[in-house]
Amino acid sequence: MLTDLDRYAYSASIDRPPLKMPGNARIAVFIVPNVEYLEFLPPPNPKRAPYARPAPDIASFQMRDYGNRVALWRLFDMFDDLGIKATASMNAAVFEHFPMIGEEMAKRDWDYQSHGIYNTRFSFGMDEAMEREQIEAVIDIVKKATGKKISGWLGPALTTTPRTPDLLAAAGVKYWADLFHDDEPTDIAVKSGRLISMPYSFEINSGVALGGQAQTAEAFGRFIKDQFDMLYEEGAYAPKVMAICLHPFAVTAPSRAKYLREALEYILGHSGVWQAKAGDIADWYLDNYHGQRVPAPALKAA
Amino acid sequence: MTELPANYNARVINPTTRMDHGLYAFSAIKDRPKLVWPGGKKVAIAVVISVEAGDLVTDPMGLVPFTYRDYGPRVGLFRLMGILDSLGIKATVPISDEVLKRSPAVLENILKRGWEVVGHGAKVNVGLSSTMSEADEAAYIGASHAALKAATGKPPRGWLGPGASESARTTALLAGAGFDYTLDWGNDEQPFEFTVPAGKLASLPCSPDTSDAAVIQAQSHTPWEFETAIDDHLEGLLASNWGSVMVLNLQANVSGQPFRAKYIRAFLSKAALRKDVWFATGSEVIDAFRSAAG
Repeated sequence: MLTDLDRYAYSASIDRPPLKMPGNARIAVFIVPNVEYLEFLPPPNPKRAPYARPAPDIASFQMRDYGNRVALWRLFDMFDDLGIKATASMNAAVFEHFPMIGEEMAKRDWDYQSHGIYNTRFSFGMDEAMEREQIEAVIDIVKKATGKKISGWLGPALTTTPRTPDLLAAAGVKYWADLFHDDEPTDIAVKSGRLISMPYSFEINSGVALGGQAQTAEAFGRFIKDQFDMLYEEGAYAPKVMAICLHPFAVTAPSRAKYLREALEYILGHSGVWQAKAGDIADWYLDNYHGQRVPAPALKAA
Repeated sequence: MTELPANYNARVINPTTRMDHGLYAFSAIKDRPKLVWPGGKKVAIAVVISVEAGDLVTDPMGLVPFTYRDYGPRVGLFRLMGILDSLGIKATVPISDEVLKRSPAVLENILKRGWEVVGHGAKVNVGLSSTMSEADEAAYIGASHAALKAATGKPPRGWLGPGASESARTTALLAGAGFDYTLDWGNDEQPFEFTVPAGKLASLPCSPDTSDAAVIQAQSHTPWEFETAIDDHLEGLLASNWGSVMVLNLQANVSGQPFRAKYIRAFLSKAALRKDVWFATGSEVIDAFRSAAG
């Protein structure tokens, strides 16, 4: 049983010198549409049931399906209009099911983070060989579909194993997005290679805010703007990284799209905003701060 | 060692549908021709009002859900009916078989107005799922079809599964029983055809975002937040202008409560003034979709 993560060092935000961002930006903002596939009849995983009801649970299944059939295309249009550089969080199987989705993303030169193979295939319970196979399969599928290597990793349905960071670093993945402990990247201790965490957001996240919390679209739009306002204010002396974590089936449904658009326009209307792909933020941090700012603790022998 | 199956990382892709099932084919909205509704309208709105009955014996909550639901066929439906009458809008009504027996004024008033009735199963607290045998599921669907046909003199065309639940066999069984469209699927903004072994079955897309069960009951939003959401939904569909369907999916006992009905009236009053909106019943939408699809 893991009782402490032991993968990063404690560091109080007030004890760190200000980050220096490209163009002296006050804030880096990365925007992550999660493009997902929940299976109709998923295989069982003893550690977690894919659905609340016996499969097929069409009420859950159809929401992601709606995202891929309709809402994602509204999101492409909106992001084109606004000039958003997006980081897609991909259930990699989506690219094999629907090749046109990979083509559209490649046309826009998006950045990619893995979100596993399907949102109904969890890392929980995988042994090392199976997890390595999963990571390699994702890298391979995304490369074939888009021509690019994934820059980061978000566990399928946020599942991990104690080995995940070591396997990611070994596969040359730059960042890990499953940790919610900071507003900055952090060095992660790994057996070999390098890995940082990227501050993904638990609550500036349509999965949580519009899902579990059942907030209105208007409230979620305001969450995004308020989060930005506070970080932007602090960014005058201590620049931070902000994630906006989205699910097309929710945020670009007809009733919600305008609130997302309004929030993104608000952010882009400020000067000193580095609207970046997560991979570019990772490169900047790895080049300038890795091993120096908040070095990872030594890994305890297993 | 792992307890997971050896092929846990494998993808499951049906080469015809591109899905992990064979029920219908994937289709991205940008690859479809624009749909134009009769009269050149951009959005078809189907107002759906479920009138339901439950089961007093099997419901662990006893009288509360039973009598709360019974507000629908006694009061809620007629309040909403008054609102729709004043605006000249016809609704589509999923009706529990049990309501036909217990509450005769419901069907009488629906038929008098030329509204449409659709199958909704025997009782709303018995949903379809993979735990039911195929024979039981076929008998359940068939009984509902027969009950509506006997009561109205015409075979019903539409179906809304109680609890919006299905097994993997449901779409085939619905088409086999003679239904030709279903409201169970919210995965699109336009109708599409299911692949069924016999008969025909289309989806009348029923978004959870315009359903009082999802927004009012599951998400606990207020009636005025619901009104804003459905206003915004219509505005969003019109802005995309793909030719879409908005099913306003209400329950007579929920949206028919006095403190909610005024917000439903407010939405409908605004929408009824729009020149780019077509109010239609479920069958009218499906017929227009099929004639546009050729």
